[in-house]
Amino acid sequence: MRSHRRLQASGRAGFTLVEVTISLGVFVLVALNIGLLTKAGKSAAESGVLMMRVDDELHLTVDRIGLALLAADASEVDGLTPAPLPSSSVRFQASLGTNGGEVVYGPVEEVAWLPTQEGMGSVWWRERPENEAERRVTWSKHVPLAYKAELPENFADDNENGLIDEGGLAFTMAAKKISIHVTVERKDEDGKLMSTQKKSVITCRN
Amino acid sequence: MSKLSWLIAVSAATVLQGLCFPSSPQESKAREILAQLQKEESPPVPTEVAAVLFARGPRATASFVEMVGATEWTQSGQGRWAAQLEAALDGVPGVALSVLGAPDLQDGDAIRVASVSLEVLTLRGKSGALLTELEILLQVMGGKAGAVNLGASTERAISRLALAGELDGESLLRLVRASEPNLSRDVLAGAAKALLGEPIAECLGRGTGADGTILNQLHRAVRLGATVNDDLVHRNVLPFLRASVDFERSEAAHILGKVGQRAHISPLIEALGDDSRLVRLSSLAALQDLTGMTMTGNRHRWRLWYADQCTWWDTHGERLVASLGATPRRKLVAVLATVASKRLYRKEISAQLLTRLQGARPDEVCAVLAAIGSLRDPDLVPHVAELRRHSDPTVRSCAAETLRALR
Repeated sequence: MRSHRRLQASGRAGFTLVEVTISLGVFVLVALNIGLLTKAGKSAAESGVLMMRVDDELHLTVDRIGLALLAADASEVDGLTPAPLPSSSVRFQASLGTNGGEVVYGPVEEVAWLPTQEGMGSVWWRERPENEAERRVTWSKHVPLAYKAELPENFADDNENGLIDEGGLAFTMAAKKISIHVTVERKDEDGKLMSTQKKSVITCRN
Repeated sequence: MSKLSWLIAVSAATVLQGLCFPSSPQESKAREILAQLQKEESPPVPTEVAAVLFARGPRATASFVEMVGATEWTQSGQGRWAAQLEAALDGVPGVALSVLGAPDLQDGDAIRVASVSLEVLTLRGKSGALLTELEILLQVMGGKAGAVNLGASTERAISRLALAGELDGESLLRLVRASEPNLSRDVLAGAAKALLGEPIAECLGRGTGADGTILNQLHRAVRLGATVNDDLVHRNVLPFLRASVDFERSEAAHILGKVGQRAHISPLIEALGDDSRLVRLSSLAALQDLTGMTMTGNRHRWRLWYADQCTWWDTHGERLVASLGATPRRKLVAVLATVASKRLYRKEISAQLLTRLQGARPDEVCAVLAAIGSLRDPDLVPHVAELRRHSDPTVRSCAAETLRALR
């Protein structure tokens, strides 16, 4: 009788198959959720970081272009067109001051968009272009062929910003005011497009 | 009316006029000459009149001749004596020629005689004879020291000839050669006031010694809108960009800026490195006029710009511009944005853009107008101004904006 009770007690102490199955199922569900959550979090974090990078690249590019053109003499700016025609390059000289009654200018500088791969291009800054002493720096490597929401080659102002068929880097000029439009675009690991754009209007101070 | 009563009437009128309207020193001199001639009992003859005028000098002569030709004097001086005086005046240049032929004539006297004769010729001479007599007088005067005093008379004579349509480049050149070496500048300055454009340009580089003056006057003429043949500019003006005199180089640059061609841009860019600041500034202004660019005098930058534009045209620009009228609408913005900054070829591009304006949609017209505004071709102003009366308000607004850019 006593041994039968022991057997009965020891049988009650284990888990039934059903219990184990249910608990495994719960565990798998929880683990799956945690995994998905972790993955989503990681992806969101990566996207966020990428977006921050894209934003940084955009702001840095616009600031660099703006600062360079701000110091330029408006009469020394060449290559810009009035709206609605956009231009993708500008050549200019900064006024450094005067010496003996004559204005002293800095070297010739150029900011231009140059295509690199299908639908993408880079923004280049060049000093003394096509000269032995030429210097060049890439200011952004992720500037697309078209400004955000603009469809290329349809002769329409798709994004209603006053420009027709403008590219990822677009300038317009009216008197001494230069409008700078830049779009930076990158794809994350999942192939999702991260795109941001900025417009800045500067007035040549010289 | 007897001669005595006529004299009394003229004298009374003269005194009355003198009291009411005080006369200038020149008018007084003219009246003195008249009074001196009227003292003579015999009718006035050329030799007597010439003697009085030679003694009084060219300025008094000019006043006297003007007074004799004035309507008031003619009306008050009706009569035989007045007609005789005018006939005697017309004989003064002939007397002057005979006097100038005298071998023992002093330089100063010769100049005075020639000056008086020129004043009479200028104010009374018949256009047909003026050129011949002027040439003879200038030849007689050639080489006389101080002959530059003849300038005012000669200028008037030449202006009169030019206005009568009897002076062309060759005639002017003959006058210049006849007047060498002392009169060149004054003669040319006088001629250039009446002659605009080509006639004066033909005298360049002919060894007249007055090329600077000719260039200066030609510059003034083209600035006022005179036309000069392209070949003439290329042949006669362009070489002066390498002249030894700063002023000549500077004036040549100014002229090229107004009537130059694309072929002159490269020499003008090189002139930006001239030693003379005057020449550098003139060359820069000329380049800006010719190209519509606003860049300053950085020679490297101008060379870069010029090379870029030429390369673009040679590689695909010419074809692109030729097909501009037929460019599909979807490609139009890219093409317009490209050609809008190619100001070296703005004439060719403008012609094509005008064809594109015909019957285009308002948005297309605005895009073309933006390109026209960027090209800064002043010849397109009338065409753009017409669009200010367009039925579409957007086009009218774009045209107004473009006109602002063009001006």
